[in-house]
Amino acid sequence: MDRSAVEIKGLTKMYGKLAALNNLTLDVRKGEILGYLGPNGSGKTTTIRLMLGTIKPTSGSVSIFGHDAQTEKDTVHTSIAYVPGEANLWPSLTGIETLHLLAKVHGRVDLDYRRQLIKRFELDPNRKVRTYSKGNKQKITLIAALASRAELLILDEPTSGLDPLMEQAFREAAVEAKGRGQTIFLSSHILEEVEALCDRIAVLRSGKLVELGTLEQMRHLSSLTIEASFRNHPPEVRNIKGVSKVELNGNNLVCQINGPVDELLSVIAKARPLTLISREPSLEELFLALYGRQSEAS
Amino acid sequence: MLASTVLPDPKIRKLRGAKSAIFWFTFRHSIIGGVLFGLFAMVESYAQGRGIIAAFPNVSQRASLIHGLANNAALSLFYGDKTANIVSPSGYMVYRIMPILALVAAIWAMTITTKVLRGQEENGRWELLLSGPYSSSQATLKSILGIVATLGSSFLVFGLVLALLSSEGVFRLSLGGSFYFALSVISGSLIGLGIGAITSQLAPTRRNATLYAVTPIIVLFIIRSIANTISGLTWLKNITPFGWIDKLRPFYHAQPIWLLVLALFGLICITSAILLSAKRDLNQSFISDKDSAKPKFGLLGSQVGFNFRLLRNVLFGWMFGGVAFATLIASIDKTVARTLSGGGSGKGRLIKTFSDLTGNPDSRIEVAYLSAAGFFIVTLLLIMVANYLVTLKEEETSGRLDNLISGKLSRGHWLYARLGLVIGAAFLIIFTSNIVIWALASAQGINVSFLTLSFGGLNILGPLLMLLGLGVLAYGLAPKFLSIIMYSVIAWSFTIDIISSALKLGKGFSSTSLLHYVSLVPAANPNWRTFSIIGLLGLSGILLGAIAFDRRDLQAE
Repeated sequence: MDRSAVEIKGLTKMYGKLAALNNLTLDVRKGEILGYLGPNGSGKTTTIRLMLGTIKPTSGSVSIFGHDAQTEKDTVHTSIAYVPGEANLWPSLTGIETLHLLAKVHGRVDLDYRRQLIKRFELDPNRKVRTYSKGNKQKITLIAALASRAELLILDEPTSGLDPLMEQAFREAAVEAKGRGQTIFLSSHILEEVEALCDRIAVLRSGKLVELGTLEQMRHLSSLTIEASFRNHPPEVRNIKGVSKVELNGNNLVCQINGPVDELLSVIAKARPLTLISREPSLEELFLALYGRQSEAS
Repeated sequence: MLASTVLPDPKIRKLRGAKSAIFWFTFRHSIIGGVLFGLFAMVESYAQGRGIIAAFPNVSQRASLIHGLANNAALSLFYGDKTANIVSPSGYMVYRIMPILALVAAIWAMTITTKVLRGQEENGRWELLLSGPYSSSQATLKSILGIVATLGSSFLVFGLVLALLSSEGVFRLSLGGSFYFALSVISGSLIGLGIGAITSQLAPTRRNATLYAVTPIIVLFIIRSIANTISGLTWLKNITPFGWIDKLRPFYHAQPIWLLVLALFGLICITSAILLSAKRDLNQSFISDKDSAKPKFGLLGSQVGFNFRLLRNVLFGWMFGGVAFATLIASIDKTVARTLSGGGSGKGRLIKTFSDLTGNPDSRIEVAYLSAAGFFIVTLLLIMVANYLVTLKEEETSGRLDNLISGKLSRGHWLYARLGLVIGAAFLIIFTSNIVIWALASAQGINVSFLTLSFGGLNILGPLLMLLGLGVLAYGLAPKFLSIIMYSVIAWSFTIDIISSALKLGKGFSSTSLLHYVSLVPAANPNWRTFSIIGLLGLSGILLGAIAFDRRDLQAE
């Protein structure tokens, strides 16, 4: 049985001479939440539009649940729901009318769950869309997608415009969806959200996939941070292989190490530390480290 | 002055002209349309003057034509003041084209105004502009001044090119006369600007602002038409700006004082709009829809129903326009016929004029006159179709289409449902208008066939399908150029229709006009063979355009 919900092979999209997406190969496994990261203009939304079939690839293919996203759009669209980064809705409809319309368009809806979501997201569904704030419009598209209970949710920065409480409500709903076996493709700028929700993370830069893996697998991209305090002056660690960013503050030492830690720990242990803390990099640090490295390389 | 905690930094450049940024922004975004409109108006006008000389080279020939025209109450609905010196080519040009161009200028300026003053607010850009050093009323004023500058550009292009073209040759106009005529036509845009500026403050959406503005503009034009048509009501000209434009009389006893009256009208409207803008909050309006409403799901189950729900007010507006003109023409039909009964030789020439128009003259002038309604209805519907397709494109570029087709709805289904709605609406407008004409004509004892009017009138659908086919093809292949292609085809059709008989252009040339394929019933019999060919070509265009649309990338703003 095929384990992939989405299979992207050699996907390229050119706009004139500009490669918005360059030979992207990626798979999204059934039931997982894949975080899709990248700076502005890196090709995230282009990938999503190719998955939806709203634009054509220059080369390569996207297959969703075994069906080609371009030639079998009708079949593919029966099993997906999409939340755009910017909710452009019809101003003269009310919230509930828009939800009704989008349910018709999706062809499926869990009405009880939709009622729950309306309550959780604190949406007044009887107001006209033109009176909604940006966040409230975003809630409409989110509720519509989640209530469709589609097998694949394609979310393009779904929490932009939401306040922290609503972001939390979204995370809960995403976890519930995963619990039901739904697959989520989550493009986001909120690294904390991706770190909290995603099973795997794909990182895009200038249209190319630069990293793909679990957060644990990606930790190698950045250094481990070591903080130690001593009764006396800290030992000299600058010459140890892999150590960088050494900071001395009185009897306190902070440094980063990339690679084996045994030699560093041995030197620290000989100096009899009072405290010792090691910290793995956060996704934000990984992201910054990755882009710092890419910038230097380029 | 505010005490600042920020230290002065020599690296920060103070930009000059911040106060006039909105003016330039508005001007920059409307100037191309302004220049194109000026050129369009110039071509239409020049074609009239040049055409009458080509068709009737002698004054005596023109005098006999004019005798028929001047006594024709029907033509007075759309044409100018018959007291003008219409024997001269310049006078004929004024008589024939100035009122209609003034009406078109009014509607054009109104659409720009509602787009700038309400459209920008609706899509959130106005808020961004207001974050600069402007109050709401200042921003409104500067935007309006930007539009006025565009209207000024239209006037300059119109006047200058007309003066250059007519400086030599058989159709000569003075420099001052050309500019005064151009000013008279473009002054119509002040009506649209003024009314559009006010309705932009009153209505919550651009669409509503446009709808609220179209109605008074049409009513003011109808008042002017009634004043022109019924001799006892000529005083009505004094109460409508379109009547004031008639009174400007370029090239013959010019009365430029009416320009001041028009300017005063514009000024009062603009001042009112600015005062209203200062009194309301951002994104609020004086006539507001309810912020919340009981849900109505009835029409949301199908794409045709959903689209009808979105556009019903606009479609009803078009229908109102069609039926109103049909009513106007049909209700005065008998009066017109009576007026013309003593027309002598003029009557004969008038019938010839109608025969040119319909291609198949009916000996009864009242029947031929009824056919004029068909010409107006087809004009109205061609513009409706063009507007409608532009609305479809906006649905796509705004991103709303993404919400629909990310579900099980296909692009083709979306497009065909929308095209079905506009074809259905056109059918209904033609049918209803013709039924109204038949009923009013019958009430006046004029014997016209119900079948000919009600079903024969549907031959107008042929050219409409053709325009729709061209439009959908453009939408599928080159959506960026949709608007310009649609309106160019319409402008071309009217230009060719106007100049082809006057300049005695060949059939090949005149057949490039969509209006060439309209049979104006009841005077002319519908040509169903032509209808079928044109209709099939249109449907083929729709089909090919839909295929191209399905294969191309969706466009974003």
